[in-house]
Amino acid sequence: MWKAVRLLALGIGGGIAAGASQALQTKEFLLFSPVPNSVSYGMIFLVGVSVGFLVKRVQDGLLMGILIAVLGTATLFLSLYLPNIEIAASAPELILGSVWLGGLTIFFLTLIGIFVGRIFSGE
Amino acid sequence: MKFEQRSWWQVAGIGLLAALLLLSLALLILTERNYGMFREALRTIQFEIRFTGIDQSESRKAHLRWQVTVTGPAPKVQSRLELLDWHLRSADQSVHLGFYTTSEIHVALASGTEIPLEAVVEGNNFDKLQRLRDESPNGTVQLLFDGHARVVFRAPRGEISKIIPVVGVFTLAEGE
Repeated sequence: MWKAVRLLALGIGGGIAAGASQALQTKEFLLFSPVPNSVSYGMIFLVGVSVGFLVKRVQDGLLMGILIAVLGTATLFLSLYLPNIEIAASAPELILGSVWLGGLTIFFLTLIGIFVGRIFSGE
Repeated sequence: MKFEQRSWWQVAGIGLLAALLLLSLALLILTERNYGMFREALRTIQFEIRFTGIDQSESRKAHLRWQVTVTGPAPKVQSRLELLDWHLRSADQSVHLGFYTTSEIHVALASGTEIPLEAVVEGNNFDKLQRLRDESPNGTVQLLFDGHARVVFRAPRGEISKIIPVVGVFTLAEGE
């Protein structure tokens, strides 16, 4: 029970951080973000590394990768949808195109980060 | 020893994750704020057209002049007008009196900014304009200024260009 709560808390924290980082470099916000693309990608990767420090088993790592990708995609969707409600109503593909691509980016970068984190932590 | 090592990694992991969560949310809020100001500027920026006069000193040639004024609240994002082009038509859009454009210009936009415009109507377009005036029972003609402004907004990491419609109807009175 305690382990499930711990993993869920990590997933929520990691998912929000990864989704917010991904939102910084999607095309709607690209010019308005104070940081370049590479910093956003680096932050998603570091989310994976930090989670990699905290999980012990391969299954837990995969589960966290999926959980962070799902919650990150939800965060990304809300970040893009809320300031663009009128655009999303008339042309939802503009938002959804960025969201599914962002979700995949979060998933793969986080998994790589978790793998690297586990190597560093000597597990 | 193993317990101490594992504990160190766990502290580092939690610390890094918390720092990333705070940093990413702070950057996202800043980005949303910048983007929100841009969306508001795009929504509120409007142009008002005022016809200022016609000069018909040469044969088959008329100089029409307008004053374009930026209305609405001052845009919170730095912006400039780069190009303005327009079609001149009769108000019912049945007669086209030519397409006109400014060359590339760089006018900083703020509420109340005034941009003078001029179109030289000549040749066939002048004949069509003259015909419209002759056919009008009281000599006044209503014309349509149907244009677009290319406005460039300065974002923190680059510039973004948008097209904004500039439309107005004006009256060419008898004797002008």
